Amino acid sequence: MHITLLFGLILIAGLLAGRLFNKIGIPQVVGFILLGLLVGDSVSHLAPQVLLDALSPITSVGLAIIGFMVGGEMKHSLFTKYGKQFFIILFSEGLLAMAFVTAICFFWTKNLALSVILGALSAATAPAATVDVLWEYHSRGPLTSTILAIVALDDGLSLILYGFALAYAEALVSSGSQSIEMMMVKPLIELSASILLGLLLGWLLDLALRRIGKKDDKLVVTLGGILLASGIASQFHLSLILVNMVAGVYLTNAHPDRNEPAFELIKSFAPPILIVFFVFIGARLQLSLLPKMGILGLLYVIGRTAGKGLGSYLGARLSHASASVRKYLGFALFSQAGVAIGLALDVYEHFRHFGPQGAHMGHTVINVITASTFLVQVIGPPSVKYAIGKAGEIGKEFSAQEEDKS
Amino acid sequence: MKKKLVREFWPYETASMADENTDVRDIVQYFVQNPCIHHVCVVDKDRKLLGLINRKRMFKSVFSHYVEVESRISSLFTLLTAEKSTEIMLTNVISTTEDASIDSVIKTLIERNIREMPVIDEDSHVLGFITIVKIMEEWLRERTG
Repeated sequence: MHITLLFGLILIAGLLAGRLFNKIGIPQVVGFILLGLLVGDSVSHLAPQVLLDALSPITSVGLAIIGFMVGGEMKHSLFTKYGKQFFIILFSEGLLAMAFVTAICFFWTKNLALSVILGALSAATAPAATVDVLWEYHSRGPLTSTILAIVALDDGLSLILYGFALAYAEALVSSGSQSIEMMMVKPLIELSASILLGLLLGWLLDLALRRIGKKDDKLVVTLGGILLASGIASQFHLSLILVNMVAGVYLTNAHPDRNEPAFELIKSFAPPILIVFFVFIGARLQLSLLPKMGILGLLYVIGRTAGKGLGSYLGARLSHASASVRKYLGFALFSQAGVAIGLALDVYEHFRHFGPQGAHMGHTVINVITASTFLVQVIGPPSVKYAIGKAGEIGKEFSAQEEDKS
Repeated sequence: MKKKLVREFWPYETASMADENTDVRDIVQYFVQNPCIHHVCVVDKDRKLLGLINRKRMFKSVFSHYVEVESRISSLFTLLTAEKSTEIMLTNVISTTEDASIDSVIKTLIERNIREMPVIDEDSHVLGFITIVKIMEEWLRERTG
């Protein structure tokens, strides 16, 4: 099939599949992935593995955009609004989820590199699926505010954890050819260089966007900057996700309102790229591997649920959050979608260069994350509704501050 | 247009002010009681301009649950949890000075699709608003004598 025709089909059918799934209460990203499954090697061979590997630059652009947008959510104001509370809860639930998933997956697979990667991915939470429920029920109050802040920041935390986990896992996988010093130093150099490059991109974009009035020019400059930095990152084996995330963090905090149009423009430009990106992930799914992944997937879900539940309880307790946050926040953080799945593809892209074992690890992560996404998406939204219902925040018309006073 | 500088349009439209700790509900009430007012300037204790709150943003904050879920989550958080003026104001204020040319003001008003902008002095004190109505009024006056 001609490549242009394939892209046209993917975009139109992807949009329809996404909308259909949205209508039945499942995030549209799941629809994209199922479409990918249909066009991939597991079913129709319309988009074979060789083609997907050849088109990997498109997935790099998708990852770069995801990184940039996630960074843009990490606003200083989210941390300052309720003091250190959100910060403590965020780290507690994210790190405990990672620790639980890493431990439980290592217990089952004895593969530390794979377990650490799955652990880092478990910190992410799907904002859209969670906020959907809050908005549908006009929820308002301390728990609702905390859920919003945590889901906005969770993906950022996950990207940071992933940056470290990937560097560590790569060092583990390639340990035969490296000295111990190199195994320790190389990841640190890569991460520091990624952060520096991200800061430089953010600073340059901030300078440029101040001088540009036209929307079209803003889009070109922002996208050009993202691609430029991503290209440099790929050239020097840095993390293109981290580079773009740091640039997003810099931009949104340097001048939040002034740089807001840059994020809005990239957001409106991104949908076709992200549809192709997620369809390609589906196309990489190997149905034959799924039964074997069953137990690992289940362990991942159990570890993640327990880690997030206990982590948010402890975080809320430590930060003296209100009783409703302490008791029910854990129930609202189960959903998982775009960022975790996107990172799973990045794992594949990294490890396929390490031979058949690396490619198998990449496939394992894609399969586990995608299959577990289906599961947590079924239990996620009803759990959010349970949490805000129990906290008495459904249909509230007064503000969080007033409820705290009462 | 015969008048070349912003200062020639004095007196400007009066600017409504709110201090940095004003409750958002008081601002909603102000907009309701003054339906012709589109912007409220948020100023610090020295009356220096910190940001602007427009009617549309206030409306979005009051009815934040109707804002698309697809929007940026950090923005939804701001709209839902804003309690005082500084939390809801826009800090990227498009303003002008008295010495600016009226041509540049007209160009900005059209380019940025806005109906008015604050006129500030060198210390960021708000002197008033220059509005599209004020400029059109002058254009009409010149033509009708």
